[in-house]
Amino acid sequence: MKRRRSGEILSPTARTARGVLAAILIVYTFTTVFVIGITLLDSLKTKGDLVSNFVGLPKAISFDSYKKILFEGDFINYFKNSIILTVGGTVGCTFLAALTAYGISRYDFKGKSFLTAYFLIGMMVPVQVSVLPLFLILKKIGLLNKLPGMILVYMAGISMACFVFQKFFRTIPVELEESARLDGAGDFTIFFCIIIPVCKPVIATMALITAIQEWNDFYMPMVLLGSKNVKSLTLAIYQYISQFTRYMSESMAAVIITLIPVIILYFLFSSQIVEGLTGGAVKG
Amino acid sequence: MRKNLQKVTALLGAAALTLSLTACGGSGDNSSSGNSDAAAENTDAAADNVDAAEEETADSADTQESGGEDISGSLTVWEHNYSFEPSVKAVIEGFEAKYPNVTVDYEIRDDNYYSILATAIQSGDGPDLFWTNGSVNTGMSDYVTNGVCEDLTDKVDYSLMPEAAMGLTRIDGKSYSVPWLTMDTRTAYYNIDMFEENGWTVPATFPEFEELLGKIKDAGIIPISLTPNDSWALLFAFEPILAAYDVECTEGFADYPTPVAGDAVRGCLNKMLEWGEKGYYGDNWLGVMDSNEQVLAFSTGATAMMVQGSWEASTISENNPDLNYGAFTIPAEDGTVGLVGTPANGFSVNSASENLEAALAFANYCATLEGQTLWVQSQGAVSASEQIEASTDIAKMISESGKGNIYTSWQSVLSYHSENGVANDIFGEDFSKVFTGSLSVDDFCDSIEAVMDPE
Amino acid sequence: MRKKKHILFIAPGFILYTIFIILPIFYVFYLSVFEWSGLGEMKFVGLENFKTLIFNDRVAPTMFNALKNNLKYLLCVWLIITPFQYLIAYLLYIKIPAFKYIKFMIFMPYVISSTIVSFFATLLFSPNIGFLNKFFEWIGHSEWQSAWFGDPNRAFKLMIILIIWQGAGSGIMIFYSNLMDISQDIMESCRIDGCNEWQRFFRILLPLSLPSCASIITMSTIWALAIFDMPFILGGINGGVNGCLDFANMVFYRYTFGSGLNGKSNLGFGASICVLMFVVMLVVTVLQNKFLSKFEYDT
Repeated sequence: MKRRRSGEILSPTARTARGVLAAILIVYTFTTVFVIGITLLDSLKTKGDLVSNFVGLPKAISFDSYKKILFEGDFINYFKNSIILTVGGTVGCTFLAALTAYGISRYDFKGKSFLTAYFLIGMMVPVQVSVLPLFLILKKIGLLNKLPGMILVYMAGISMACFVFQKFFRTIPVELEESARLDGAGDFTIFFCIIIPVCKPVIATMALITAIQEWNDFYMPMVLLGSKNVKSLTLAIYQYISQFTRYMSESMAAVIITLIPVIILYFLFSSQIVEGLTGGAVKG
Repeated sequence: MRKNLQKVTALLGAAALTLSLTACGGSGDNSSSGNSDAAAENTDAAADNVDAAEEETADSADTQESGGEDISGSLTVWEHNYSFEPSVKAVIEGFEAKYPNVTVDYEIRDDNYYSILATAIQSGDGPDLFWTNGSVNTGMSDYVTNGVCEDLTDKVDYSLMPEAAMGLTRIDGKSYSVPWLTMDTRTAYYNIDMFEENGWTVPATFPEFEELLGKIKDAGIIPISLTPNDSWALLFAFEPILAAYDVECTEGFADYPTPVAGDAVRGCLNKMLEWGEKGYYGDNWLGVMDSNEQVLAFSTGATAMMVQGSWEASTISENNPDLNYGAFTIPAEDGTVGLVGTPANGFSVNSASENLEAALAFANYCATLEGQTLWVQSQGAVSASEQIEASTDIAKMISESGKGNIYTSWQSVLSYHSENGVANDIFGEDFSKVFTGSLSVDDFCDSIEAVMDPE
Repeated sequence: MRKKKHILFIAPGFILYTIFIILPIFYVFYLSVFEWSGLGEMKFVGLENFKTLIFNDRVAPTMFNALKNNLKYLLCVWLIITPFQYLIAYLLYIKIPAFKYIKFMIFMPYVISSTIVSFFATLLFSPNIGFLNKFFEWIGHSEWQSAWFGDPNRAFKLMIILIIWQGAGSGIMIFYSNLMDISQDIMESCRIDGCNEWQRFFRILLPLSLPSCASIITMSTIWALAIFDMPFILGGINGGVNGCLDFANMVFYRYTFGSGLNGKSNLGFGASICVLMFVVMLVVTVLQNKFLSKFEYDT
């Protein structure tokens, strides 16, 4: 049943067109390779070398910048905090968003369109606006300067994921659920055993996007996680990046360090996204 | 400097929505307390010098040392900018050595500092000590009005502080903060190697300076690194140039009323614009988007000079340790020199602190020669006190180049002598427009004059 | 049988979302009718803040210029960025040569921190130290040198290019994953019916992926109106030369948190800017959704 999607026979013109487009895109992606490559090279340069030589190969490989970042302060702890925040926030947010979106898109009830709009509002307001009230709210419930507090805030940011999921769930054929229901499956069984597997690609995509945002976020942690034992990695290295001109080589190393987990994550998730291929094969 | 940070601040944020606004704005950062800071090496130097300072302050320190063991508890200090982190650390260490039973924590809130501080204080979760920019802006006076700042007039030993620094701490005649004796001044940095190679010399008069610009330009090198897109970076170039362009006008700023947007200021602005047209800042200088780029152009050797704040010295050195550069003060027509500068403000004590005694001890420690020395030297800053020696050669060079002559900053006149500092707001918003050409010098100056206090 | 169950699905998200997202927004609406620095007494000023915003001869031109830029950018999103994203997603979907590599790399800039993007923009476009001007000099075409972001005629276009480079990835991924979810059977029967690539694209793929298009367009619209980071990185907080890179959010930021030196934060006035932006977004989004849903029906 698996078959190449573009299984139809291609005309020679179409074939060439695709080749040309691919070539253009490959050239285009070189900019990215270039940027990341330069960042990596720069992070290995000494300071004097770096200012006179942004693009070239390092004269001598130096790990000073990495040492400075990794051994200054409590790196392991920062790293752990970042992982907790990102994993907690992403899993929580994606799961909540999927639940909510399912509830809204697969049931008929009064106020449905209102709810759709209601969940969109979250995208319309910049973080700067809400961070002060958030400070007060977290303080009230005693979760200020605590990781769970920050995670709750991340979890609540379901607007985007919820919106994307809603549109998506609507495209799933109803028969899929109906047959399961006839087999005696409950609402939640249907959600977990049928909907989630079918939607793997889109869920993985949203989780990835959310995770990257949370991993890179430094503004909310700066305000909501003041004390040292809950500092996140991004926040810890932000002091270098915020003084970029001064700590140029350290900033480069900092970027590479934060990039590595994201790239690993991306590899993991992108296989999920590709697996979605088989999703469509499930027949109602 | 403020801008640098801010800019970058914004950056790190993830894309998409969470991202949105970060940074910048400024809130927190200010000009007068520069980023000077803090190369880590300076901290060591500072530590060495502290011993000496300690002896000198034996008298004032005595009283505290005797009580050191009695005071206990924990304190939290808020600073507004990462560039001060090494200094905060150094001062806390010094303090904790004296008061072994007090533990001090610091937090740095780099962005929207004032709003976050206000929120924290409002919610009862405020720090015990916090930075403000003193009487320079409405931040501290707002806190004082709301009874948040402890009156320190009789609680802190201010004997070390010169009058200029005390001005920063006062609201209605009472002192509410402990200033830092760093001198935030502006200077002309120059690339020594480049000057030597081309046989250029440091100018002794203003006409010589102008001639030098022409010579450098003719040699195919950009004379001055300058950004037109940042009012503050422009200010730090404008003030020293104005001081050289018209000494009398600059001297007048010490004693208001005086013309702040009169012929001298207009003439000087037109002169700077004329230099821009001549290509003295580079042919495409409108594209220099921020002060980071401005500093980079100088530190990487693309321009011969840069007129900027003294605090940028540590950035330049940190960015390119191999750069051989010096600093001079742009001289007036008759050779007169003087530094435009201000001391910086430091911490205030939160009246609601649960540990007021310890907080006051910390404020007092900051006011000692030992605390001040640690701060000034770990900042690598120009010192505003004769008793504190600057820790870097460039800082010494800057302070010597002024020959002991100090001028009041033009911009501080704007904020002190207009209602609610509105002239300062206009400056912040419009100054860069004058340089990018969307606002004429006369329109700008007229709008400033219109809002200045009559007396 | 399906009654009430939806509440169980919606409730957890609804509660958290209301507390942490909606409540702060109410707070902002509330603030917008006060003059308040964040401490002490709040002074009720009614609609005074809004009046200032719309009629004050210092604030209003800045505000309207920013809104104009927002709308200009919105058009770019609709006409350039979104079609570009869809096209790339489609190319990945039909598995053009090296699509795995391209898919991976095209998303990559999204994870690069904006700081670095800003730094590379400086390296490339800086008139004094940037590659581009140096390169033109080197090949003997100094007349091609430019102030780049300092040139109001170019700044906006350059910004769009950089936004596409850095930010298009997430949209591409969403389009792509939606295309991936289109049932194989449909594609199969389409193949059997012998429709050509154009027909398949316009008659099958495009209509079937419309829901995801609609969602991305709606989100892009909201983001376009809330854009902050890129113009801020590239043009500075004052919105670039002559305000050509000024946007509503930056105006909000400047007025709310004050310029650093005067340390005057007027949360009330800032909130009023926010409310104005909010209203504009709401109107645009509602109109757009009306339009999109009609479109959805037709096809």
